Amino acid sequence: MIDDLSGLTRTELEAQVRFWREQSLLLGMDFGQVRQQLREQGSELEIMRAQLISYAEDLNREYQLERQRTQEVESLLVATVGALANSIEARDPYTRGHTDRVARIALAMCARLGWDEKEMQVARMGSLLHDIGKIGVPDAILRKPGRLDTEEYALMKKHPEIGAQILHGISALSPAIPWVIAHHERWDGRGYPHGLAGEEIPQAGRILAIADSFDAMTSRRAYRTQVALDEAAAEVRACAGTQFDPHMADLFQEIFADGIVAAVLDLDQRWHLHAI
Amino acid sequence: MTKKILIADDSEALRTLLHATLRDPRYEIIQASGGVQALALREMHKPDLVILDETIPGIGGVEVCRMIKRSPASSNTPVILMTQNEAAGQSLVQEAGADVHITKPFSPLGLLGTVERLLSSKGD
Repeated sequence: MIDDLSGLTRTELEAQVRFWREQSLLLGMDFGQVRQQLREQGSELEIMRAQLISYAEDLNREYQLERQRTQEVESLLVATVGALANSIEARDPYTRGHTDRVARIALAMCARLGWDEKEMQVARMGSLLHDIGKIGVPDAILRKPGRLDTEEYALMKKHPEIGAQILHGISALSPAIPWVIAHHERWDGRGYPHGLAGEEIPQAGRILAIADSFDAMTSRRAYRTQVALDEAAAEVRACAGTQFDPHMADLFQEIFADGIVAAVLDLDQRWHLHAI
Repeated sequence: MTKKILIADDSEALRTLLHATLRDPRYEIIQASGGVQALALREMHKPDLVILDETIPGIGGVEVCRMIKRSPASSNTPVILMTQNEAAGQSLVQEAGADVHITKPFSPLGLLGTVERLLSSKGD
């Protein structure tokens, strides 16, 4: 670049002018191109922004729908479990109300153990369905007023396994299987169907065995008086370490002493299963 | 059987978004950034569905669509044409013979539904 133009010939000056004219034209074109590119990039950004908002809206809509569907499936599950539980009671007049009371006692024990909501849901399902296998036991045995003979008793003892088989095919209900299969196992290993002993028995089975037996004992009486409840609780204590898990039997005694067992069995107080 | 979907859009960001939206073990996604490349990939892969942006460089989306529909080998292949403008898009779609018209920004769930419908109505 030449700063001092005074010494230049006319031809040299004209060359300088031509050079700078071309140079500024090129600069102008480049500048135009850059502006055009920026405009295009801006409009692409605008399109992408609109597109992302559309994605967010769809995602939100789908999320709301999914939540609604989940709630529907959950209430359907609760209704199904209730209907299945009722179907047993409808066939077996001796156990009317039994399932419901066992579930209330078992859930009170689980609550004392500090179980979370998910574990409580499974516990609710398991305790309501624990006798579901009785669907496979003939009416003549289920409704027989007197003692069952050996053969009849053998058939009756199949109900935990039948129940487990029924639930096995339903993925939403299968977490309840330990409750169903193990509620007639005994701490000393003399229970059924597998003769498991001690902590080999799923905890669900050890809890349910106590709730189930306690209610069976109190149901033998015409009225569920406090005396009847006290006697049944004493029997649970007496059978700790033989029929029942001693820790779970202690836990039961705790909530019994606190009056929780009597409270959950008192239907007038309108304890709801889901509120326990 | 895996279905092949050919996507042609010059915006890499939008192709990535489309690819993420349509990701499915049942689909194989092929991407093109321009019209010439789209036609070459169609020849090579014989896709079951083509999604074309109207403004791809080289041969434009409308022309690519017309060529796909005109060729006996691919005249039955469903084509989705994406345009910027709803009203202008309609006439372009008619002109190009596309099966479905989608305006940008599109609803991703709407697009998934359309893709599903077009691929299942092919009858296999």
